[in-house]
Amino acid sequence: MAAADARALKRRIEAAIRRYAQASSSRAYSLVPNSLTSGKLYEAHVLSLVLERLYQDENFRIVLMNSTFVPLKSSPGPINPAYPHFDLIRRSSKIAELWTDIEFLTLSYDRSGGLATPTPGDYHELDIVVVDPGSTGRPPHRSIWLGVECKNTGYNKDLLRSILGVRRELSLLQDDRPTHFSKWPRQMVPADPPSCLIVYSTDSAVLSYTAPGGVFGIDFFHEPI
Amino acid sequence: MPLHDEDYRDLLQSMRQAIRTAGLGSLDERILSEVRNTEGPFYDLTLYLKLLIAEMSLGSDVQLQAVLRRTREFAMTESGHPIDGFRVQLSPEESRMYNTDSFDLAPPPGIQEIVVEFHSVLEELSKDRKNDTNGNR
Repeated sequence: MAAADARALKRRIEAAIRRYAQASSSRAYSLVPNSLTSGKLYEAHVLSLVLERLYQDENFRIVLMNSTFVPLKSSPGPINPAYPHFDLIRRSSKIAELWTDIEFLTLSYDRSGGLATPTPGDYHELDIVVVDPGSTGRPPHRSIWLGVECKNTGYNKDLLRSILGVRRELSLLQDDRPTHFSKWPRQMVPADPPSCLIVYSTDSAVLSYTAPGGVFGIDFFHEPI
Repeated sequence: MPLHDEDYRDLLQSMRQAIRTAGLGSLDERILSEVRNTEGPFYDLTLYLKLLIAEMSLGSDVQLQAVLRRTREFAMTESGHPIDGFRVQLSPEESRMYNTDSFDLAPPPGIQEIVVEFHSVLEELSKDRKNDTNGNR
């Protein structure tokens, strides 16, 4: 093998650094408005925090399926198993799945028999969900282990009312019962089915609205990016 | 001639100088903050290159870097390849408005080729070192 040439290596390194400086100054997503990119970047930020906790506190091995890009949608929809999502694995077995921007079928739809074609009032979106493995379409409320809402906006009472409505359509208020999680986000929740519900917001005002969450089992976090 | 300690030192110094000249001083500082100790000029050069590769593969958007670094740390793809980024699927209305179906929150295109080039440099240095150590010249 020919010996490495120090001068040639130096030229290659310097040329690559110049190319990197040029490439990194362009923003690939400059075609869309900043409000859309910043909202989705915040969702990505929160998702990365959720992955961290699921990995560290719940000992899940987390695998992105069907893509090398994490999917984020600007409009929510049902689960299509062929689409990218995360498998949550423990001891070689898939325990649950994590999806983004998914609509779930409500408790009220279930109570009304759950047979008619769902109308828009029968499903609500969540930015991040952990659900039963193998879920398809709009998962029923009882399949939701964890729902996460990401708010990269000022937090106000309308948003509180909205999340209280989501809590109502996920579970009935009950005495504390065990969640699907051993540590994070909660061991116990006053809800049946025992789903966890979290709100992350960039606005510190979110902390003014935590009181009803203590009763209904909603966790609020002020999380700037 | 095989490379020697003086060459490794010179390569590292010129690489750091080139990074600062390109306006990427913060990148150099971040890499140095990761370096805990030294085990000689070859180790210093190759460690710097490895850390440079890891940083470059995250792109230059500071917020996205932090998010992608954390995501890669706690999740992987099926193949074990690092997660490339985030792909935002637009609604039909938005797709018509912006003339695209999706956009990526990811390191800019072209970065991967540069990362591959640095991997190649690293490999060449390692082979040269191995051959020199084995007395194959």
